[in-house]
Amino acid sequence: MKLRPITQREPGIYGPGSVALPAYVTGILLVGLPLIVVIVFSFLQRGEFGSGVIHKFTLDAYRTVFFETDLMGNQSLNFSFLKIIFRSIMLAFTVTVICLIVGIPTAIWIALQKKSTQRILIALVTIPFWVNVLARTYAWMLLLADGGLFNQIGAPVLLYTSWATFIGLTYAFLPFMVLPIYASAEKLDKSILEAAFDLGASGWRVLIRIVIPMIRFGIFAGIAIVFIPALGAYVQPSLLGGNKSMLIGSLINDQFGESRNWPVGSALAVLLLLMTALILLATRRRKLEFAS
Amino acid sequence: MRQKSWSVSHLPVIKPLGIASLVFLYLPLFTVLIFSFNKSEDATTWGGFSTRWYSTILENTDLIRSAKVSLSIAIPCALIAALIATGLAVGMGRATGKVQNFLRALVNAPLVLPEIVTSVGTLALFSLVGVPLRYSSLLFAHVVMCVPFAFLPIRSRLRDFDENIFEAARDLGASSTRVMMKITVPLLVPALLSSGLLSFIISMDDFLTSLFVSGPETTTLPIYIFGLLKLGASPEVNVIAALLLIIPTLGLLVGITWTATRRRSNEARNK
Amino acid sequence: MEQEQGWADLQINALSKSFRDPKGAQVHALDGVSLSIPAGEFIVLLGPSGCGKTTLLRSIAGFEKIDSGHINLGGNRIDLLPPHKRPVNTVFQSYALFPHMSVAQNIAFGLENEKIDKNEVKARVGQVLELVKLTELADRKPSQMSGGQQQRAALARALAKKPKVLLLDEPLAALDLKLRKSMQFELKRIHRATGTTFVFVTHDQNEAMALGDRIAVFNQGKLQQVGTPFEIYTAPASEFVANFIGESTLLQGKISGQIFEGDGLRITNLNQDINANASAKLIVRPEAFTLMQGQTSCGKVEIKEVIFAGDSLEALLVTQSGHEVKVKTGASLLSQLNVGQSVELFVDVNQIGQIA
Repeated sequence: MKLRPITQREPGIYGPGSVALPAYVTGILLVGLPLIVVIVFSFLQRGEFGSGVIHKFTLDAYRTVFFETDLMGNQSLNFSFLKIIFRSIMLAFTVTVICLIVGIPTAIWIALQKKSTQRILIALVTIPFWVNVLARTYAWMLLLADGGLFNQIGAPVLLYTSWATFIGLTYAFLPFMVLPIYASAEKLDKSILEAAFDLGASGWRVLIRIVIPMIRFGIFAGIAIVFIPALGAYVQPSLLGGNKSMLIGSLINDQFGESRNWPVGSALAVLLLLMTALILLATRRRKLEFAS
Repeated sequence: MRQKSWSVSHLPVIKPLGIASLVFLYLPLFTVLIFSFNKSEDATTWGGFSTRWYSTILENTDLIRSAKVSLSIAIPCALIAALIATGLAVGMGRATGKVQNFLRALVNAPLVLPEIVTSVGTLALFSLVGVPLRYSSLLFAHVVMCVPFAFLPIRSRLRDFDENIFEAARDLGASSTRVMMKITVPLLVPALLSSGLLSFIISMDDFLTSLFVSGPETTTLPIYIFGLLKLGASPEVNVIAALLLIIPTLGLLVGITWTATRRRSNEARNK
Repeated sequence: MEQEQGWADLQINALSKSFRDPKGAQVHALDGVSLSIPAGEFIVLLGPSGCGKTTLLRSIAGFEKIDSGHINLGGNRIDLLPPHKRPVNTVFQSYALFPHMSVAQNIAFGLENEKIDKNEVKARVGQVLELVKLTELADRKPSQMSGGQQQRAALARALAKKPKVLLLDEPLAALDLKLRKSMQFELKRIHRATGTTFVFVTHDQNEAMALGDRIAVFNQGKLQQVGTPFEIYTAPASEFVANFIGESTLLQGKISGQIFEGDGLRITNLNQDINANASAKLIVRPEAFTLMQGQTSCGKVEIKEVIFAGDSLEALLVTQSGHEVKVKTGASLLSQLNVGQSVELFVDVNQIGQIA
């Protein structure tokens, strides 16, 4: 018999390691490669007929994003693009903050219920998440439209303004915030709260000094998974916000569609990718800090 | 576990805000549901109860056609994604090597990346390589998007099991293939169902990836509906939105009840 | 059950294994361990958690890759074989029964891996079920059985393979005290009935004493001592062994001419096997001391604490030099002993051990 050294904690504890190959192949070909292609495209020239690219290195795409050249040939900052990027960041930030303010108490409230009530409430939070995003966005069109329900009871018409986009995004991502925070709040040892009250702490103090620090990892996860999709959102801004207050998602879509400038679209996508990486790093680094 | 009544009431703001979020989450959904039974021609003004708009959508051939396209993508997508995800979870096991970690992160990247980035990337890749935008290209784009979601229930179910079960099987002389066929896969059946269902819903719902990667013959349901929504509110869209709300919710409720009964019967048996 | 595959001694030769802890420090789980286990023996690997006993067991099973050394079974090297090719089987602490299979299916699983004839599988499943007295529960799922029954099922599953060596990883740890006691008798019976080599890991010294033909004591990856329970108890090879198994008092001092002097005590008439030494260490079990007249006197001590333990008295004494001595003595003295009182201490010189 031929002796073959065994490996420690074989990867294939559940079965042969080779069955992971299809996943690895799809990961490399259809996740890794597209990202590389986007990065490469952002350094290429715009295609002659608008579609596609010419395989020639240039920084034109990034120059277009950041600067504009006037008729005299002078370069200045391109405020129209920068404004859109800035507006997207501010909107995603506001949505995240509101989701935090509403989501943290909601998650804690659910986690402190009886087990059976918890299950029902979590199902209630999860259901909207499974309803098609278009249907959920449409519901707000119905509520916020001119002559819509809110308008009928005297509220101003918010549809096709940034307010509507803001409401729609908050609505879409609130469950994203509640679920990870609930997951850590649910593991919380309730007797620690009892101990804090027993030692004479007020409700606010228990909430801020005990509960929130203990569920911080859930909060960081929530921030990341709300901020990132909010930043690149397309559906809510284009249905609720109209096109008056464009965001980076619609801008990228435009560059690949009507404006037919794939390198600029790719450059914007790369910027979005960089911001995503920053957020992921930021929320992860904080985790390490607390762990040590 | 007995609930201490003070814990909730003594923490400030959590109860009112908790209830407020539930109202916030359900008010729009109920509005759509109610207005789908509106008799009026005006989508936003109540004109009495009627199911008339439900019958009109059955005659909408574009809607039916796009729904068929979506189903023809979502069903195979669910199967393939669940298979690939199972392969990943089983084959990777508990490996923590750098290469494996990187590959797993790559496969799971669609979970954290903005969808617009992955979808324009896929479009750019397809155009670079010259893949025509047909059924199969859209199917693959959907599979890639669904695999990380399909992976979650499978991995968490595998983690729930005592690692020794798999070691015991090896110890009793089973090859790794036999461990997979006789132990791992049979234990994974419930997780496979939820991972397939998850992928199905995600594929049915997907809009952005489909928007970029679909061709003229592959207009999916969400793309068709998006076109309708661009035109504003209408009684017909009320009905479509209500159906998009009712169908997954019913599916989810059936799933939840099923797992709850299973859990209860398991608990009863263990007593 | 008869041993079909013949007898096979297990030889563990200079086995070493280290790994990095989460902080990156090198930890020696096994540090040059050599151990020879004759076929048919019931050996217990004993030690505190993290001492390397479980790593050794998992190395024999094939779940841990060893850094150096080798493992021979009946003269054949087995340490390079994957777990499923080794003629050894494990009973896991968590039982590790397959939850989706009945007891009978669990047991048959291992036999089916060998492509054994169906009738033979059935017969052998029946045999082991009878051996562990689970015949009536053959069709139950693991979740429908008590902890003790699951334990028997796990044992039966491993034994059905007729392993040359059966490895048991703290199999009784999850059971309550009463059940554990009765399972100990069961294990002894099953060991005798099968004649298989049992390698049993535990951190419970009483369990080790009760079960082992021999006990191997581990600490920090090193084998401290191997011997029968009696040898280990009466002649511990090191302070660690003396303290880990039962209670003892360590006396340090000078031995010359069969007389010990040190720690405020003086013991005369020491046994011939105690070596003269300018810095000697003696180990004395509490029951080797007594406060009743009769044995060799050691000197005066003061009573610091007395605990009545039903059948005996446990007393903590202080010698004149301030050294603490633990004594177990007859319960009849209870009324005569008071804290603070000065009494004379006696010792049975035949029960004094010496360590290096």
